[in-house]
Amino acid sequence: MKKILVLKQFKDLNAAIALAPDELLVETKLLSRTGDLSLAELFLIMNQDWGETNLILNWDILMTDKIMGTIISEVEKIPLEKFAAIRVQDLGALEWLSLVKPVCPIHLNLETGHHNIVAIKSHLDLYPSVTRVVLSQELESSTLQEYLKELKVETELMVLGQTLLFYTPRHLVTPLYESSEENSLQVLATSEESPHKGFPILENRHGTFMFNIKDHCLIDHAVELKEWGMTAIRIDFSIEEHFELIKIAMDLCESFDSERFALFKTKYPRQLSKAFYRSNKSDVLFKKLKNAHLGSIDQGVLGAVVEQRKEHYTALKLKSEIKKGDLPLKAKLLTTDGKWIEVSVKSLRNAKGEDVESLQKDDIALVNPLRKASVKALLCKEELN
Amino acid sequence: MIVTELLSPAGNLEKLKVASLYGADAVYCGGQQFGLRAASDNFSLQELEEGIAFAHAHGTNVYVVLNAFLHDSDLIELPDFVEDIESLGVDAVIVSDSGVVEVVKNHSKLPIHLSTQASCLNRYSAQLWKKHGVSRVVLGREVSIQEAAEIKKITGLEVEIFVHGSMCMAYSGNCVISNYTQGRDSNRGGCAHSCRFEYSLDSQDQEKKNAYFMSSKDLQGIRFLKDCVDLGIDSLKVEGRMKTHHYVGTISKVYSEALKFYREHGHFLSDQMLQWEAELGKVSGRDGGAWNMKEAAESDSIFNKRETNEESHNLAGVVQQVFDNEIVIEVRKAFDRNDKLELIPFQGAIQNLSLSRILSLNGLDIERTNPGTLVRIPFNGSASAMNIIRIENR
Repeated sequence: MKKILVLKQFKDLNAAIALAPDELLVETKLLSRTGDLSLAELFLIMNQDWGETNLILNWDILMTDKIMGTIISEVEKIPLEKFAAIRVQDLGALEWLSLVKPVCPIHLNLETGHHNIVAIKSHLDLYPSVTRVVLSQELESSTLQEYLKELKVETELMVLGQTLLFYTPRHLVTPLYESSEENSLQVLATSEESPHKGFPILENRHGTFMFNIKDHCLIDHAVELKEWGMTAIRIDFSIEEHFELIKIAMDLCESFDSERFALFKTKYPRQLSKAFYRSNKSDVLFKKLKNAHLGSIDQGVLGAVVEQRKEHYTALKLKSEIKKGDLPLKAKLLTTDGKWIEVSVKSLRNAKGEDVESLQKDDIALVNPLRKASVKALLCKEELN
Repeated sequence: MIVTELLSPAGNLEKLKVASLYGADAVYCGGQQFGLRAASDNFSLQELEEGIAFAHAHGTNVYVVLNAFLHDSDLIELPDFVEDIESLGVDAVIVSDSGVVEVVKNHSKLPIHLSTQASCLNRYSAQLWKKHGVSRVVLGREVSIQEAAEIKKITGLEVEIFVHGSMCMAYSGNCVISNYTQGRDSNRGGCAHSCRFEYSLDSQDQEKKNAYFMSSKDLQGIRFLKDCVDLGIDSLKVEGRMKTHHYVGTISKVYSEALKFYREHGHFLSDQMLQWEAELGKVSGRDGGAWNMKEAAESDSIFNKRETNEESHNLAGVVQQVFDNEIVIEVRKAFDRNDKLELIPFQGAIQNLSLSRILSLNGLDIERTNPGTLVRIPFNGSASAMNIIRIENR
C-alpha cells in the first residue's frame, strides 16, 4: 500500500525528501485549495531527483467558467508529463484533461458527494484515464471493504489530516480585519449555538475553508485497509513542522503498534476522530424532523381536518366529494400521532353553516365533531388501514 | 425564441397550487425520500398525482427533486419511485448524484436536470454531465448570467440559474458541517444551517471578533431579468421549499409579471421595477442583492446580523373558499379588525381587505382570530380560493 504525503510549502521540501513517501501530492497556490507553492517553486520541485517517489499534481479547486479559463492558460505552461498523475476534484478539470491530455493518468477526488458505488463507477465508465479514485471519509469500513472488491482502479483514503467541512469562494474573514485578501489568514471560530469549540478557518486567494475541530485518523486501521486492497493512504499534515509525528504515522501504517500509537496520540497537537468509519447513521434523525404518520397515506383520503371546534363541528378540507345521501358515513380518522380512530360522519354543511346536498373536492365541509380530531388529522375511507 | 421559465418552489401540495396560480411556469417539489428537505412536508404519491394534474391543468410543469447524495442503501427503493413518478406524468427530475442519474436513466425516460448541489460551474463540467445524460444544468450559484449563457452556447444544454432566495455560502454540496457537528447529513436533507450561527473568531495576531461571518445575504435578481432573457437563460429558479405561501405566491407573482412585461414590451419601467422590489421586500428576510449574477459576490454579500422575523408583512391566511360577498380564510397569523390586511390576487393590483366583521364558521362575531382556525370575512372584491391574505406588521 502506497503512502502519500502532501507538500504545500517549499520549506517542507527537504523534509519530504527525507521521508521518501511513495507519492508526494504537490499543492500550488494556483491549483490547490490550501497549497502555498508558487509556480517557480513547482518547477524547482519537478526538477528535483525524487528517486522512487512519484509526484502527483493536485488540482482540487472548484472553478467558475471565467476562472477556469484563466487557470487553464496557466496549466498549459506546466509540463504535466513530469507528474505520475494529476488529481482533480472539479469534474470540469476531469473533462478538460481527458480532452487535451487523453493519456494523462488522473486521480479523481470523490471525497465529496460520492457515497454509492453506482456513482463512482459512472465516472469510471466514461473516463478511462481515471486510474485512481480518492474515496470519501464518510464511508463506513464495511462499505469501503465492498468497494475495494468491486473497483477495478486504484483507490486512496486519507488516514491522517484535517477534515474539510465547508468551502466557499467568498472571502469571509478579511472583511472583519484590516487585512489584505492576498495573504492567507487563519482564525479559530466558536459558536455558542454549537457544543464544538474552535473550528479552524483558513482564508486565502481561493476563498474560505472551515475544518473540523478533530482531525481524521485511521492510522490504526491502515493494516486492514491494506488487506482489503486499498492502493494508497494519505497523510495530509504539515511535513517539516511535524516531521517526527509523520515519521511515526508512516511507521504505524506499515506496522501497527498500539503502545506507539498511544504515544502518537498524546503528542498529536489536536483531537483525533474516526468520524464515520465504524458507522454512518447521519440520516437516522430525519424521521424526527417531521410527522412520519401522515405522509404515508397515499389513497383513500376523504379530507384533512383544518379546524376542530369541540361541541360544534369539525371542519374538513375535502379531498373527494361527499354527498348527504352517503350519511351516516363510517370512516376512520388518522390522528397526527398515528392512531386510527373509527368515526361516523353524520351531518354535512358548507363553510357558511348551510345544509347542502353535496360538497366537492377542495370545498370546506363542516361535519359533526369527530372525536380525537385535530388540525392535519386525515379522514379516510373505512377500508383503509 | 427561448421563453425563460420561472421555476418556483413547492414545499407541499398547497404551495404547489399557490405557485402555479400566481404565475410560475414550473414548480419543483420533493417526494418523501431522496430530496434535500427532510423537514419539509413534501409529497406523498397521491399528493404528487393531484399536484401534477393541477399544475398541468394550469400550464405549469412539475419537476421532482431527487437531489440528495445517496448512499448505497438509499438506492434500493429509488427505481420503484422513479417508475412511479414517471407514470404520474412528472416533467423532469432534478438530480445531483451521478449514481441517481444512472438509476433514472435505467428505469425511465424522464428528462434529468442536474441540481445546483452538484456545483456544476463551468463549460467542461457541464459537458461531462451532458455525457452522463442530463438535459439541463442548474448551475452553481457562483456562476454569472454571462457565464451561464456561454455554457449554454458551448454545450447545447439547457441552463438554469437561481434568481431569488436564500443562498448557501458554501459551494453547494461542499458543506458537511451538519454531518460532523450534528450527525445529520446535510447532503441528504439534514442541513442544520450552522452557517447562520454567530461565531467568535480568535486569531493570534488580531483582536477577537464576533460575527455572523458565514451567513449569506439573499439573492434578488429581478434587476437582471433583462440579461437573463436576452442571453437565453432557459430557467430562473426561486429557492424556498421550506418557505411560506406568502413568499411563494409573492415571488411567483412578481417575477412572472415582470417576465411577462418584458416579453410584451422589451423593456422595464423604473417605477414599476421599484414597485416590484417593494413587493419582494415584503417577503425577504436577508437584504437581497444580485450576488454573483454579474460579478463575484464580495464582502457586502455577508449577512452579518442575527436572524429575525422582522418582515414588514406576514401571511395572515389563505382563502379556502369564496361565496357571494364573503370569503373563508384559513388563519395562519392572528389578526383583529384593526389590522391592515391585503388580498393578493393571482394577477393585478393588491386589494385592501376591510374587516367590518370577522365571523366564525358558526356565524358568531370574533374579536380576534386564532391561527389554525377558519373564519368568514365579508368581501365584495374579486377573490379566488388559494389567494393569499397578508398582514402588515404593527
